[in-house]
Amino acid sequence: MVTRLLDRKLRRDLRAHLGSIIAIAVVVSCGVAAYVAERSLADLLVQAQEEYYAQVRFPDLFAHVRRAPASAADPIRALEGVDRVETRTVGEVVLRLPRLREPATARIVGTREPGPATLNHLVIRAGRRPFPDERDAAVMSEGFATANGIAVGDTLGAVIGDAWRTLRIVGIGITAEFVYEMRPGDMLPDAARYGTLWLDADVASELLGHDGAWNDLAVTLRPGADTARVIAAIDAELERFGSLGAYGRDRHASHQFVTSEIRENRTFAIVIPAIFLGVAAFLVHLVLGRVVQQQRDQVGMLKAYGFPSRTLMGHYARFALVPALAGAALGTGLGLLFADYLTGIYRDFFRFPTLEVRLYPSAILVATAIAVVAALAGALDALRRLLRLPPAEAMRPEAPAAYAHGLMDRLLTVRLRSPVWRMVARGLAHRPARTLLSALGIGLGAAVVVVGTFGFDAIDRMKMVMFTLASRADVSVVLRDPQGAAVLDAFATLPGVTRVEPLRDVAARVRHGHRHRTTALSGVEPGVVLRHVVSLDARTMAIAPSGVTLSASLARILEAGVGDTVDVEFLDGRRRTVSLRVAATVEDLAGLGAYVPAEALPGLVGVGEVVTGADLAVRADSIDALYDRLARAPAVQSVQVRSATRRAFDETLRRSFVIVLVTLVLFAGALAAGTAYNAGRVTLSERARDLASLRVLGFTKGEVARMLFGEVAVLGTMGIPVGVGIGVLFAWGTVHAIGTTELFRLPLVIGPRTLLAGALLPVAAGVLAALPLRRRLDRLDLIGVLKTRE
Amino acid sequence: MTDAPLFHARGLAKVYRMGEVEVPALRGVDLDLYPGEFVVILGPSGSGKSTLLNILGGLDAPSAGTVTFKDHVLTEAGEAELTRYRREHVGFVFQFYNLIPSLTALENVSLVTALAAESHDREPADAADTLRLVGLGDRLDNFPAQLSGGEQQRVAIARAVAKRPDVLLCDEPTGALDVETGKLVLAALQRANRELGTLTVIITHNASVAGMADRVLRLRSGAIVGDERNANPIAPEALSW
Repeated sequence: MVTRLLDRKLRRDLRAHLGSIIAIAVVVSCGVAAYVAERSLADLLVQAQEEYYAQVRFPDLFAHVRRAPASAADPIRALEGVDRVETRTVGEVVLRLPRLREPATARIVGTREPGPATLNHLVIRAGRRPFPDERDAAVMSEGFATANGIAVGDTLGAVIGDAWRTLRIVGIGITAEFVYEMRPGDMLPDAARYGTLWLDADVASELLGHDGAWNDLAVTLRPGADTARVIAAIDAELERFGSLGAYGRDRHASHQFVTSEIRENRTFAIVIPAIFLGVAAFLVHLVLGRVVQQQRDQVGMLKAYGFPSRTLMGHYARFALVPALAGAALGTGLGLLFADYLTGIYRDFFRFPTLEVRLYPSAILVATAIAVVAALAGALDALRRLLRLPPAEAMRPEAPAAYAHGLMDRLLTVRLRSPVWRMVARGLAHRPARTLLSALGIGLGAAVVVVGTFGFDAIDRMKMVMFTLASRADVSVVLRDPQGAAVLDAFATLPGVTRVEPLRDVAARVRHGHRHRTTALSGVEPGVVLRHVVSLDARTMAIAPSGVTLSASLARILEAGVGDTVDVEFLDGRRRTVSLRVAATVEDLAGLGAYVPAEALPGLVGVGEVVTGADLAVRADSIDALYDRLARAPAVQSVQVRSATRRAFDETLRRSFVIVLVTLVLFAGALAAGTAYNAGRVTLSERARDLASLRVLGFTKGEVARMLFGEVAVLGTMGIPVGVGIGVLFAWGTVHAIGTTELFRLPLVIGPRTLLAGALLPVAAGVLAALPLRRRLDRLDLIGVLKTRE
Repeated sequence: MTDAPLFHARGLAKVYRMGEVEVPALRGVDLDLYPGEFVVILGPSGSGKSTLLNILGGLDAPSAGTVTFKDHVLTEAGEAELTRYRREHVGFVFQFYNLIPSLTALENVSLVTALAAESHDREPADAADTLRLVGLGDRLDNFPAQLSGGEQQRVAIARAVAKRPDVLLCDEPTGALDVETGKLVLAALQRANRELGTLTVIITHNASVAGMADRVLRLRSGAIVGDERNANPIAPEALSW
């Protein structure tokens, strides 16, 4: 009976504070939604990855050589800890695809019928595998086929080896090696212009000129194997075959991408809920604190009648739990919707056999638990006060708020002549902690907008650096094998070519102490205009005239600074090693570059001239003829077209970024509006009597509204700059936590557009929050106020 | 009294609807109030005196009847017009003072004089002078929490009279005070009435206050049952209850 009556009181109290309850529930739901979505996506990817890897025998170690005889793998099979070894041939070719104007690059990979000894099984999604020795049959990777509208039965042509061949697409497939399929060295995938073609292993080996030999090795390890020792042993075995160095899954491009996505999801699953549930806890503190204060007399009466404190605390705790649980329920639903939507986007980028978001009960349980903990943490102070309240004391009305002249007051009022602004200032200064936290809550809205939108500024900068400063070549060509200077003349005679600049990149392992990375040492020509080394802040950097200039990222990985000496081991046939002094480092945007002046390169490598490719400036009217010629040139390994890369970049970002941005902006709005509403609502409740008295004294509705909203506006004015500052810090954290990889560095650029959006969103949210408060204010009871004491 | 009445009320009735029950608060009140009068409206609780004061103050509308203030028909006025009426013509004194706790005595008074100065055709009195008038010249910079109840009520009186209203409406101004403090407050009201010539209406259930009035109205069950003029009002200091 008693509980039923208290329940009824609770329902009425909740109804009386419906706006606040909804605001808290919405803020909670954002935090819970973020947790449920990010945790679900992380769990989904982890599970998909584990299942897929097990299903297709994804290798533990990888190595690539120039060319090795079949027998070269035997000693590796015998290594301690090695389970299975598979060798195959891979190579890149230039393709002409019917719906694509520019040439595409395909990675040719040899594949075998799955058996006890095979690894990296191909999963057929449509059609079939090539039969053994079926020379013109190929399986195309799903993303590549989809992007180009290619289906089983289509044919396409390419120069493979040294002859033009026609391939029939007999199947569409996926593989764990290319869950994330991207051209090495690119920053984002371009599914239309880069993909995989699987040929029968023997056919691939023969067509690519490796008949009987191989150039790609995959190894699985036994449980408990010493990975580092196996890698060292493989490197020792393969060095004479031009090995680029064996590596584990941690350096496997596709695995890295999926893993870093999982890491990002896990980071967001902590950071975003922490912000939102922290604010929700504060809002509970604010609202419940006010409710308990208003109901002191009721609490005193109930205590006087012998209600145990525990019952009363339970009663008020439930007031806090209702919005927490409602928010958790709403947030779970929203989170699952987000997770489902984002899984759809994932399916475009991550090719798993299946990728369906599931209901992860543990994610929902944990999310609900943290929402409840946050609400109870917020309620703690009010509940403690409740416990301490002696019954008699509770039934006496609270003494009027004691304001006094202090230093703070003099500081505040010396410039404020108007009594109205003095009211506002003193009201805020009277409860400094609440004022600061309310301002912070509103400001965090700005912070979330800044951290959500600065990506656009950073990407604009990246595009500017990549497509207008660093690379200005219309077309860049990579040769299959290094050649002499004569090849530049051949390029110059191609249709439409107006300028040719050589590329001189030699694969090399750069070593400093025990740290090393495989990259390319590039010879930089003086006076080139089509390609530059450009720093993150968009400055074109000159290469030091002697020694080696390193990408700062590479220098950090190697723990090498200017003045240190690094060993450069060239991974061509001669395998020379030279020592070079680090002359300078460049904070650049992408890759792990190492640069020397072009004239120094032949001496270092130990050959004559090295040309590994060319940057071309091309007249637009001849571009199609050029594409045809390049696609039919056996010496050409791959072709990159700047305008196409740029389009793909924009498209990828548009698909993956915009929805996240919209969500963040909505969340930020909820944060700012929820805080502004509750700060205003509690202030209104505390000032209702004052404001009603002023209305009786002849102040208009508009005038008293200005007093109330003046306070909220001051909170916003304090909070927004701080929030924008916090947003900048968050952006810095994002850049360092997830925007700095071996592949690329997200520049920390925050433009006026982002700052403005950060500042304006809380204002808009505040105005929205003011509407229901204004209605409440207009309905103030002017007569009641005359007869009551607070 | 030869002046035209300031308030002219005819047939005032007010019915409150509490759920399904109708509770009449006023039943047909006719009333004229004149400039400069000191009027005490006496009545027990529930007699309708607060309702009458609220209607005169433009805070409530009668269910039937008319009230005019000078040439304004209050019973036809809208929300904005009533706000303007209160702002320009009415000074209120409440039982619980209703001072703004975050403003000092001086600022509480200035808040209202500044408001009056914006729209008034009369210059409001100086806020500090008015506080001196009610004997608080040395408490100008004190916050309400630093003042006694009587002092707070005198600040409220200063706030009400500083804008030089046409009428001062006081709802149980001594209700929350002890006898001696109550007398001080009444003296302050009387002084304002005498020196500024403001029509002063006090509602109270305390019959002793009637002794200091020019005119005493008695209300019972929503109707006026007595309207007496007091030929020899006594000084508030001489009152006792």
